[in-house]
Amino acid sequence: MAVPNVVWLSSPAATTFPAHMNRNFDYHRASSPEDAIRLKALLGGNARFWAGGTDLMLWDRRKDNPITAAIDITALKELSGIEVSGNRIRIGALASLTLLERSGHRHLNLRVLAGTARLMCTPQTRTIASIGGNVCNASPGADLLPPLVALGAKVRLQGARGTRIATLEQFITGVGQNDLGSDEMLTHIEIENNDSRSAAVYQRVARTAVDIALVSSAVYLGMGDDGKVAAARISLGAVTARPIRCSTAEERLVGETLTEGRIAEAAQRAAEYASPISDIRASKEYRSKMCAVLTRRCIENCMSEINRKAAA
Amino acid sequence: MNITVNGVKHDVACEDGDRLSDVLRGELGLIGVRVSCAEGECGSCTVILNDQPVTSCLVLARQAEGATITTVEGIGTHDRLHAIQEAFVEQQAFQCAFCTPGFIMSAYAFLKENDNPTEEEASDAVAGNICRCGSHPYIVKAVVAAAQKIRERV
Repeated sequence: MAVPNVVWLSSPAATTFPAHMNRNFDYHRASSPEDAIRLKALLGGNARFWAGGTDLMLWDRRKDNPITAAIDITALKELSGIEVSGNRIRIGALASLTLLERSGHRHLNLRVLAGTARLMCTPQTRTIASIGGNVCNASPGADLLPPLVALGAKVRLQGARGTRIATLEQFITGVGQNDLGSDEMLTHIEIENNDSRSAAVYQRVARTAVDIALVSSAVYLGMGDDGKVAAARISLGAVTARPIRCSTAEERLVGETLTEGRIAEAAQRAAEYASPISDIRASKEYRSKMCAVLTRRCIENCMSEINRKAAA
Repeated sequence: MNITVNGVKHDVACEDGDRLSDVLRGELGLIGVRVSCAEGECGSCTVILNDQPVTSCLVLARQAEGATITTVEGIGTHDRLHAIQEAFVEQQAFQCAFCTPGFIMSAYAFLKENDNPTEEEASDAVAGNICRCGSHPYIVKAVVAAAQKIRERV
């Protein structure tokens, strides 16, 4: 085909960012989890484990607490991949959102995480962003937290003095705060491999495809052979400072046959756990109302998913 | 630091805190790597890093040590455009063209995995790129047209 004439720049000018946008820290590449933990303890200060870096790269705006060192952990094979074994699913902290997005077919419980990952950031940022980063960054709006809490996820923390396991609700202690010791790192996220009559659903409200959640809800339901709810876990996103379980809402469902009224009541109880804020993106009244709406939809969708599976 | 960009091995100097996009533009003069938002929202700086599309503004340059990178400069030449570039020209899939290299690199990564996409799939594939001129409908058409060109060329 004929190509129109294009004027090509003969000598591209070198363009760099203004000085205020440069990051001033040292870079270290860890060769093993032990090496990473050793470096973290050794470097002290605000040394940070660096995976995708999609949050940390924007950290330089927080001038009060600059990052002093980046410990690149992306070479640690031990922390990548998703392993589905006998009684559990183990997700490496380095598993990218793209990997998560493409692993939905591997297990029922991975399906909700795959669907959630697909809602996050952009295709070319999902390739680098990691599940471990999303968890450790502990943003109230982190999309993966509600479904992980609903799945009963636990974090595996490796430290200089051994390994410990904590629930997400224990691990995340506040807005942007986690319980990671100065010589510890998150290595895996574990969820149960329960292939029974169960389903998990995540629902959110966001303005655009690449927006973060204004408000979100996640529900896990397990049904007993008697047609009654055997297990329920409900969590909200973007309206609580840290991940929580809406226990009174869950209690309304467990041991019961699901009716429209019970679902609505549980959804209403879930909304009582929200302490939403008003900001430029939505009012607290709107967020609060949507908690109940989204939770109801989650429960209904769980039910239809379970029924569809039973019919198949 | 060693990186292989568009098939050529380079030894470049960089600071520990530099972004990959800084090095590609500043050190190697690859200004097809456009930086608009510098926070991973707009997709202008999309390059292929070890076979995956990434927003190069969010990658530490040092993390790309030893990696293989493809930028828009590496997929076609003025005399022999890549099928995607041809399709973008034919479908007039740009106005100011600032965002075009990013769109092309997203399409490049996508079409390697799906060589016969629907318009919806093509649209999803470039959801991480923003065009402020509003050329999206033409861009989606171009991605679909490029897929056909690629199938025919093989």
